Amino acid sequence: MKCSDFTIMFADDNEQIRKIYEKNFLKEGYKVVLAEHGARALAELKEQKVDLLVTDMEMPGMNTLELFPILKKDYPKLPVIVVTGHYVNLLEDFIAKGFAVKAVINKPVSVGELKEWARKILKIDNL
Amino acid sequence: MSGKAVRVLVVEDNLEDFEILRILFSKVKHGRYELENAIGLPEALEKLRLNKHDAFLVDYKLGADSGMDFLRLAIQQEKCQSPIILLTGFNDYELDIEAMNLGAADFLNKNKLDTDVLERSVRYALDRKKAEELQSQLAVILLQTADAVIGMDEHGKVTSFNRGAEKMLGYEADEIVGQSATRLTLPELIDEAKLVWERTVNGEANSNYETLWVKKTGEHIDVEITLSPIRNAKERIIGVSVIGRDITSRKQVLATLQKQEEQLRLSQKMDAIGRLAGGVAHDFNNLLSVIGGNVEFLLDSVPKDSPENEELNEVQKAVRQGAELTKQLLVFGKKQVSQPQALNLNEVSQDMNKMFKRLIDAQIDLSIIQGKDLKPIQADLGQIQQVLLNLVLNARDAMPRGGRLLIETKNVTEVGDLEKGFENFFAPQTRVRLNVTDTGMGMTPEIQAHIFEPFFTTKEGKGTGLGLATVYAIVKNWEGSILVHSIPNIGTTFSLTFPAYEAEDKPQVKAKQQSLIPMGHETILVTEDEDGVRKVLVRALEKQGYKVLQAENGQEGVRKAAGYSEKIDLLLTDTVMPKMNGKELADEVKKFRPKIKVIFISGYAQEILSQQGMLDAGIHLIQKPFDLDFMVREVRRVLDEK
Repeated sequence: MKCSDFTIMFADDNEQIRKIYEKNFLKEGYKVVLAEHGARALAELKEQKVDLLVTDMEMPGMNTLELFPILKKDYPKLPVIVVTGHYVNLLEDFIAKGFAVKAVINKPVSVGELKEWARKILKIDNL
Repeated sequence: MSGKAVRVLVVEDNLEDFEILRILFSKVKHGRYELENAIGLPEALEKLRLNKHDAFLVDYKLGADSGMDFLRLAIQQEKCQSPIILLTGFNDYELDIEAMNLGAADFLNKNKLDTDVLERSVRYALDRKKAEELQSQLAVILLQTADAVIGMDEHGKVTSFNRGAEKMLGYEADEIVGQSATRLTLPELIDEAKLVWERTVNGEANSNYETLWVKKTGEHIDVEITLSPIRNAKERIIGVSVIGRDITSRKQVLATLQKQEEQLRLSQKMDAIGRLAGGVAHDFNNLLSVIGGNVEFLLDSVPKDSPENEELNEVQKAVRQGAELTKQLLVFGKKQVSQPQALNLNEVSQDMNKMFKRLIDAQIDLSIIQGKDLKPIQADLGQIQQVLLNLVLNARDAMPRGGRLLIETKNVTEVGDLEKGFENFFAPQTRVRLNVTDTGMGMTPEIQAHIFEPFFTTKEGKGTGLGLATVYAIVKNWEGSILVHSIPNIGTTFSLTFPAYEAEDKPQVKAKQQSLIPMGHETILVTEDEDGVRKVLVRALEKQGYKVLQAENGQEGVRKAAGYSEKIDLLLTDTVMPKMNGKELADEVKKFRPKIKVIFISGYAQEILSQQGMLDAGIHLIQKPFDLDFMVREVRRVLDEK
């Protein structure tokens, strides 16, 4: 499997951050979908097949606390990476609730770290 | 003499003589006299006991007795305070002297009496009595006051030493009267004392001057003294009076207050920075993400060996430092959520040993002395690593030319910071000490006073000023204490003490007199805005077996009371808190928990609270500062009330 086989959706309310994700991950060869909040993410999920969701914890409109139960019901297999500014280990909590969260990474986001996680989760061989 | 009549008892067997006296007194121009007659000693004494006469005129001849007998009995037995004037039919110098010695106010020859002589004698006697009374009252006050009152002659010899002085200094008056007063002065302060003495002897009063006195035991006491010159009738200065007040406890209270204020100021500053950091962290992190993300994008497009690559790497390094800084600032606002676990400081320091060796110069000799059977502490591993790292880096920077760096751990037994001042309630218990010592340049006391303040740095251009502030915040987060000992050019020790972490089933705090203090099992909600006070209350109550919920303010108190699903037996609340006071909290909680009992804690007097409508009848109040023993008993008593 290679990067171009996968679509990654990035949900973040900050436009500059969405752009960063888009630039870096398009360059890697992924197909990229962007959403500025949870509601948009759900709408996009209905339109196309997404292999990985990278989402900010807090977003106006619909945040992850509202989004995750819907994902659990409608897209139980969709892996999720959560980006947060809180230095708390939330991963166990998410897993305990049955969400498909694979990683929680702290802000500020390191694109390098995120790329590694994406490869790992999507089982893409390193070059 | 005007207004009220002067009541005179005339003790006189001869009615004619009494009549003459009455006529003489009736001619007095200024003032009125009411005369009453008593015949014989028994009647005279009986009337004396009625205590309604201002003066007594007593004839020497009283049947079988004499006026001297009356004088003696009246003064010695009946403790008569009113003047007694003796009348005789003859001049007798010997008798006069005897009467005076017995306490007679005057001695008059009956044959030479006229209105003026009588009036003057009585008036003078009354005036003198008044002055004497005042003087004896003053003497009693001087003798018995708790202040030390010391009289000295102009050469500095002690002439009088009151009971207050005896009690304060431990000398009996006999031991010190006649001696030089210098023995009361601390040798180091003798020059200063001489100066003040000179000024006083030259006519200047010196008020409220603080100094140290030496007790008989050699101990020192803090006193506030006032020196005043003593002048004789001719205004010549014949000595000095010294009034001294023991201010040892006042000084101690002030010092404690000052220390608490400093700590409060520091924690407020840290809180403010923490809140600020919390507020901007989100945006700041986004900005850093944008910078870092773009740099990463660019890094992919430039060759690895190009100069641009190096510069972009520098930017990336700065982004990481910025992220680290944000994270560190969040510690102050307790925003950084931590994961408490049992940690062994020996293991933590051992694991970091390699890293330390990499960070410090080869000229620095690092050794770790591990205490045996070291107790675990409860803390967050990452935070404790940060503490150790910051202390080691500081030690390194204090020794630019090398030296020794010592990390030492051990168990100690003492009371915690919060429990200081309540030693009679909390027994000392095992704590874990971590000392980090360097043989570096040390710090002056001026620098030491500021080292824990955020943004204070001595490493010009190199430090953020957050290292020790972070250490302080983390140590406080885990209920530890931190002390610094430093001597310039010798070195510095940072001494950290944490409560030992006991397994759950063992009680955390051991009672000193467990059996004497009533235990309980009820649930108590403690609401108190002062952090230290609340923690002490909670600990004391938990120690007695109660289940304790706590809140920092009224609103939180209401939330806790509403959110708790089981019975809450008692609300123990501070009265004065910002936003919602104790009374409002109690009223609010009673709406949904009508049976809850309430005890208020207050620094204000009960009267003030009642006036403000804070206290209704039947409401319980514990006055600050309180004794924990008393508080716990009061809680038990109120819980047991029907």
